[in-house]
Amino acid sequence: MQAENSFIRMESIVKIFPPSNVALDNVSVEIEEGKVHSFIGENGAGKSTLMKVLFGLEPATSGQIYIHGEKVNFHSPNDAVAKGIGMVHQEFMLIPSYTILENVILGYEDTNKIGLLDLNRSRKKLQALCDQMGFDVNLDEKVENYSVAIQQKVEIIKQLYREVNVLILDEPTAVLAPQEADELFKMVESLKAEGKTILFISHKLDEILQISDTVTVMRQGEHVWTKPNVGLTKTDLAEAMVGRSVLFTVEKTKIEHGEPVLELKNISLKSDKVAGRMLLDDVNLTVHEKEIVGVAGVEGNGQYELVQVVIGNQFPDEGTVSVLGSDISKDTIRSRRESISYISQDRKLAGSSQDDSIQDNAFMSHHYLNDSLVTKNKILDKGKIASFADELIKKYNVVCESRKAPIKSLSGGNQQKVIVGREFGLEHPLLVLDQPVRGLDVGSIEYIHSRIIEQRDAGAAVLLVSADLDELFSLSDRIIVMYKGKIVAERIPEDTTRNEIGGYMLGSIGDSQ
Amino acid sequence: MKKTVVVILGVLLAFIVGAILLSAQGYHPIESYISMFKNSLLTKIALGNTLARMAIFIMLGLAAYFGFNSGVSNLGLFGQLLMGALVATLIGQHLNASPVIAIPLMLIAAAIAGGVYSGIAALFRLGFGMNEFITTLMMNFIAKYLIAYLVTNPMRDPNSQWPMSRPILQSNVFSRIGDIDMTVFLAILIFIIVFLYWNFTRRGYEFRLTGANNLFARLGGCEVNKNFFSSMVISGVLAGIAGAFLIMGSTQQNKLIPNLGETNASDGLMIAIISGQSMPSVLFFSLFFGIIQTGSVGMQMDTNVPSEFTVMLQAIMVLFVVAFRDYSELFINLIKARSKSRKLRTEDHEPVC
Repeated sequence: MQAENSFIRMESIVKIFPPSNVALDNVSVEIEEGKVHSFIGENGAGKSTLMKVLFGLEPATSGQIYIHGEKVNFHSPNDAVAKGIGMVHQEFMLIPSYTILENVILGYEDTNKIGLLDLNRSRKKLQALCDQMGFDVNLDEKVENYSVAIQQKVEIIKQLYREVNVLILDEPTAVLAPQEADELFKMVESLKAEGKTILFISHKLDEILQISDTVTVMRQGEHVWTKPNVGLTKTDLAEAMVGRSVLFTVEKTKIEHGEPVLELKNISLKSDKVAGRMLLDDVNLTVHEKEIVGVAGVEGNGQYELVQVVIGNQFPDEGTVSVLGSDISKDTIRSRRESISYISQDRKLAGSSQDDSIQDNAFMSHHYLNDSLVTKNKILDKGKIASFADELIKKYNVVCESRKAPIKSLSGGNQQKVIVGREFGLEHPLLVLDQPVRGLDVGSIEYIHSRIIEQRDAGAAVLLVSADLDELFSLSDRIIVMYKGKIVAERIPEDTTRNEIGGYMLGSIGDSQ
Repeated sequence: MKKTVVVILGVLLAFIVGAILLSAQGYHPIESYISMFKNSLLTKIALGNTLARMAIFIMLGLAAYFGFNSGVSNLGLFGQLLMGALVATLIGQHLNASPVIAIPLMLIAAAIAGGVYSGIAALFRLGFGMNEFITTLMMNFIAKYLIAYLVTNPMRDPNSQWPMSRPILQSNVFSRIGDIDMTVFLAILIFIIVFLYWNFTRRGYEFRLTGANNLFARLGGCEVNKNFFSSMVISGVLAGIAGAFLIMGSTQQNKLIPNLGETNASDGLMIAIISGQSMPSVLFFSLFFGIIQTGSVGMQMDTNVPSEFTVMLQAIMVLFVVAFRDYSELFINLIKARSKSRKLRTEDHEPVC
């Protein structure tokens, strides 16, 4: 029934993460040569897993892959590369302290007759490749000195150097500003013109419609459909992805903000790795009650440090942090937790203890802040803690077996709901949210967003860091942009555009001021 | 429930492998095992000895368990035990007072000695970033050679051929209830206190969560540095008490000897490892190690199987239980995944055909 001459054919792929987490449910898909084929779906839909199976990173539980009708069996990415398939991961596989040249040739080094490295030959080959792609960089510069967008191109060049003709790009635009994404799309176009096949993973609908020839939609591990990109609309894609019609914006009424809650004055933080580099450079910021302040910026421009300084995990070299008028600059995390709720960007490492139960995870910080869960003699009241956990599970619609289940047995969205429930349950005046919906499905995102608005309406001051401009535009009452540790712009979402914010993020506007 | 099955299976398998090794060397395995249990449980004196051994293991197993599960690698049980034993000996040799005063004083002093010795390693870590894994291990050597020096020179018993100290005063030795040494009751009492502290206090919760994920605990407001210090000291205190037990127990020699408790300390580490995250398992394995070690001596006399066989049996048991714990789930899950995948494929294919 399948065309024998199809380029890549994946047939009945099933991938189950033990014991019974179905990531791919009998997925069959065909890929044509020389096209840009996009895979879209929500987080957890299986699009990345499918590509990892194709790339030999994850063994399929069952199913076959054919290339030009010939069955292949990849045990490792090396097998896939040998068949001309390369992948650029979301997290770059580069060694920061190596030069571009060293990174690219790593594992595929040219050697001379007696087996010594022949860097010159490699350099010539790589330079020719870069010239051909119009990629102008110094090959002997260390990778860490380049921006994320350039590093991504290095990753792509690295794959091309290995002479792949199929390139898998896993959510490549997640780390890029809008302008940088346009650059990437140009590169994709030129690769396609050379006859390369591009497999493009994303959940951003606009860019899919912009660059794809063919679109495959996935939902909950299943293949929904594959169609040529002719006459498709955003609504078509969104409905297929989510299985119902989706709102693209959160319901939010405008309210007047109140008194200042968080005040940062002249905060500066020096890098302890690079002398003279400022991670935070004279940052002044006020967040009021009943206000959500969104922080935009390309990753690594000080947003993370800003959050760390507020929660007390790092101490600034200069400046003061105050909450509700009192200076907390010298306070420990423990005492700051009396007024600050915090959701970290890393759910697994910083936001939870994966092996412990939902109850133990929900109890964190409440264990010393919430005296109602402890008896007069300072003994933990197990009955009250259990009902506290059960209430949280009920109130935040956490899908789980029981409060005793380890939190790692929950889906990402449900884990995040436990974390959100714990933090919002502290009923603090200040919420510091560092990418609170990263990696979640649309349903969970909508849910958590509406809870954030609810907290604001109830009087909380919210500092929201996000890499997703859509999230910032739909939630924020005010957006600030960080670039090289400075706040370079402050805008009301209604009075600005994504492109303007993007310009500030890249430093292409604002430097002259 | 599943965990209990894993432990029982692991222990049984260890005995089976042990039996194979025994018969390979020409011994009769069943006879040997029967002799082992007979000589550890079936006479009053044997049972008393088994329980006294158990008491030592409970303290040392608990010491290691407390450290490991709160994120502290205290490998210095041996050194802390020796410091406790040294202090108990010094007081016990000279303090001729009512046992009601002398015995608690010796225990408390030994506990403090153990706690101070481990506390030093904790301060090295907090002050200079020195890994406690290494410092505690190194401090074992300091304690070991300090004791070796003391018992061959200043503290040596002049009437003895071998290097050892004079015994403590007979009044300072623990009494027995029936054939059961007081250390047994004390160990169980301490176990209960530690168990309640671990599970029912705020600090206990912080210890547990810090051990599971330090960063998460710190960001959640737990005082991780203070907890590190306390946990290290508590671990040392428990080891120090074990040292006092080794001097003061009625089944013991009541004197300081070189290498006192060295194998006990490593057995304590093994018990903590084999117990994983279950504190009651410490009690179970302490009893178990007590049984096979006490029984091995009688077994050697009855059947000629060398008593060192138990060292091997213990090691096999640790390997099996730990391996079972980590891999049984993985393995079962893998089988579940396979069968589910088969089901998915047939379900989806039927309508096509």
